[in-house]
Amino acid sequence: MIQYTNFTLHNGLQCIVNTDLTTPFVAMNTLYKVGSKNENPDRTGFAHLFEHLMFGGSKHIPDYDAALQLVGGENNAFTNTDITNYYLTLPKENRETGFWLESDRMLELDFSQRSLDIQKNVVIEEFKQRYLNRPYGDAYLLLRPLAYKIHPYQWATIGKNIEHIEDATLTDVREFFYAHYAPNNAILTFSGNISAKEAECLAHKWYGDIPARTLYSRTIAQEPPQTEKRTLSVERDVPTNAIYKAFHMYNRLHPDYYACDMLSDVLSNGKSARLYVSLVQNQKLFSEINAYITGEDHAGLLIICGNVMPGVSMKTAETAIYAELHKLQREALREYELQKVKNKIESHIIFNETTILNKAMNMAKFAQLGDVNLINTEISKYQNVSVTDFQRIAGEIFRESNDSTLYYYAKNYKQ
Amino acid sequence: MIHRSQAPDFKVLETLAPIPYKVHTLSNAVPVYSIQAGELQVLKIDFIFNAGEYYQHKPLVSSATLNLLSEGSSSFTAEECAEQLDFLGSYVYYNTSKQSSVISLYCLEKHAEQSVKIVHEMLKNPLFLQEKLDTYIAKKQQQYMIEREKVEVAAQKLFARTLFGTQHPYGKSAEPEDFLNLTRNDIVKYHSKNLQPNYCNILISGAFQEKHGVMLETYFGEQSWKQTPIVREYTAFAMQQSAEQKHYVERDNAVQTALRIGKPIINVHHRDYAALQVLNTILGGYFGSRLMSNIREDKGYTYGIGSGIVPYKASGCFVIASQVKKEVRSQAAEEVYKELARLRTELVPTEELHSVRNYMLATMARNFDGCFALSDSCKFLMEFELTNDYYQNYWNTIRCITAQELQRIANEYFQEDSLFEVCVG
Repeated sequence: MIQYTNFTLHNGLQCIVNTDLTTPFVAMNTLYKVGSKNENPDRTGFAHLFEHLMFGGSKHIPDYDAALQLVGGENNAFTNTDITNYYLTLPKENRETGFWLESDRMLELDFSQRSLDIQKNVVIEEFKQRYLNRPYGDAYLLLRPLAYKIHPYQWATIGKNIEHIEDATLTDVREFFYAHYAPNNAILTFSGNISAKEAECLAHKWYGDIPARTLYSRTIAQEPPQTEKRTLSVERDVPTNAIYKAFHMYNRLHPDYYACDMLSDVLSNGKSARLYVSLVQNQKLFSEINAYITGEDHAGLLIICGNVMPGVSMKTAETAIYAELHKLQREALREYELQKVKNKIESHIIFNETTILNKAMNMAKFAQLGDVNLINTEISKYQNVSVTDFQRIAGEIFRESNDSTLYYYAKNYKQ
Repeated sequence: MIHRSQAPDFKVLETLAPIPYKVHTLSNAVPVYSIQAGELQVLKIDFIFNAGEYYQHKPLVSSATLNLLSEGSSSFTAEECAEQLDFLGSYVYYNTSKQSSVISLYCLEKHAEQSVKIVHEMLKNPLFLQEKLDTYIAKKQQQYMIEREKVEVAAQKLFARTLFGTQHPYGKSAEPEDFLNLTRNDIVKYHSKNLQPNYCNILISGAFQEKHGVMLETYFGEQSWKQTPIVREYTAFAMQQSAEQKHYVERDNAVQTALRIGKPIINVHHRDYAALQVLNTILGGYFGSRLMSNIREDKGYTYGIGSGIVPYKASGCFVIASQVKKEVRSQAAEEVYKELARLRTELVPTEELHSVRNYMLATMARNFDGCFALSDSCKFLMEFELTNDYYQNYWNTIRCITAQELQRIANEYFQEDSLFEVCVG
């Protein structure tokens, strides 16, 4: 159970504080409600590129990192399809520095051509390092557009291609900032050695005079239901064949989201999970196999991916996956197996609460979903899932017409 | 009106409380380190064996043994073991390094005893069935083939070989044919010689209470886990550095080159170690480091570059690592050498030293915050047979070190002609 206090400044900045006096540190998280799904389809990768620029100096502070490190702070950030998230931890004595730094870059960035040019290079190298220069690195760049035809989830956060990053201009940067970076589009959370009163006082002091801004929001078209199986085959210089399957699932606030998450756990969380036992251990068709959900705000994907053992045909591998999926539709889960997944989730949630940084991030994410109290009630939503929910949802999701499959062939292995 | 150009006042951390660990010994002489910390009802229990790759007679043996512990014992099958752990929501991780083999159990306090019972069983009575070994090898072999496609993996292997030679455990790594040579007998032998109470230290942290000490005695004391009479021989391997200082393996299809520059270096037991860590942090040990500022932030050659001092029991390793744009490989290396030269010839400016000092003190304090962080810091002491004094001295060095001293260290350890350079891609 996480105790918290929340308040909102008059400019719309939502703040949440969890006080934990057992630590000498404070974690501070700033979530902006903008991700790659809010991008212009001809300028993809921009939200992430922008995250890099947020470290290139703000209106009154030329070097964010230097100023933070000087007071013993540590920070990082990530961008995904839905949000851009900045986080830091500081010794409690120096927490005001966090307010100073984060508020200044919310107020205004120092838009510099030099910083843009450098960060474009850095991001292009990131693109190569993560997606091009490693085996199977481009799989998700290929799978997303196969699964989504309309919705902006069709491109990965890094962007559709390197050209989009190269083409970004300073005008784009400025427009993006004022369209999305604003107190009324952000959530500020704290966990650690800070009282709600102190946080409120400092938030007023540093954020109070930042004006609310008129936000620009692009209308996001929802993905129409998929009606037939989609496939794509590629051949690459990799050691072994691999298969990637994406099934459309429910949005983050849908009541069946939880059952779907657990469905992926039944399939692949832990060495007693079904896909592992059946396809890796017993049938020896895969060297590894995973199932997980993307967990995105809008309807996301349940993904199953695995590396196929040498000598096993893609067809055999795929048939074996489907056999396991059909079993979930045909036979109700035993209560025992359901309980096992619930226990794992309980344990996972408790371990996740052991650091202040996780608590600060989770509070922000749930607040962005609309209700910070989900942080305490989510566990019961998982506990309430029944075996009948499972079977129904397996039936809805694991249909061929809801399946987008990427066959990733190793050169010379194609069968 | 607030002055945004003016940074708020701040404080430099002054003291670091020692790790609050206690030590007691089980009846079979296994030391148990315990740390009571945190408010959540969770426990982490590490079984730390003074073993690892140093004691294996063939590549892969140490990691295979550890990973096969859960694949069946005299009282449960692999499936039952996995099933039980999953049902309890407990996690067991197996980690093998050059110098140790560690089994880490994470569990909710309420499931401690049931979880510990499973770990006991897998450590004491593993079957190491041939069939399980075969599956393991086939899987690992495939993962290995994928891993070695990565330029950074290939570079790291070549780098270790260059520094320590192919005969030394610090330099040697697995080759494809090693998978074919691995036998069940290797595993059984390794287990009986190494994963024994003689070489084990236990570390328990989190919601620790006295009853957990009793529990450990029940499952890991003399009654249930006796010391082995088998004598383990210690081999002092000779290090053999490569005659060539620079190595480049080109890969036509690569768009980036993995770069490694470094050398064998002193470890935790040397009096210059803490000072060297400060110097390394300035060079490449944090985001604002000179290498990051120059090669990523100024030149845009890479997504990231860093350096580290990695201590081994019998040596240490200094490494600068990055993946850079293929076409600027030489320029990137040039810039690295320039930064090293600057450390040797110029005093570190006061501002910068001040900043690194504060950063490092806070990092240490962070490594002491929370039960799992404390547990990791304690594990380090145990592995290197150190005490809390080590951290106190380290802390004091960070607080007091001068620019002159850092320059002396740079001249002693960072001479360009002592460094090896490896590039793949």
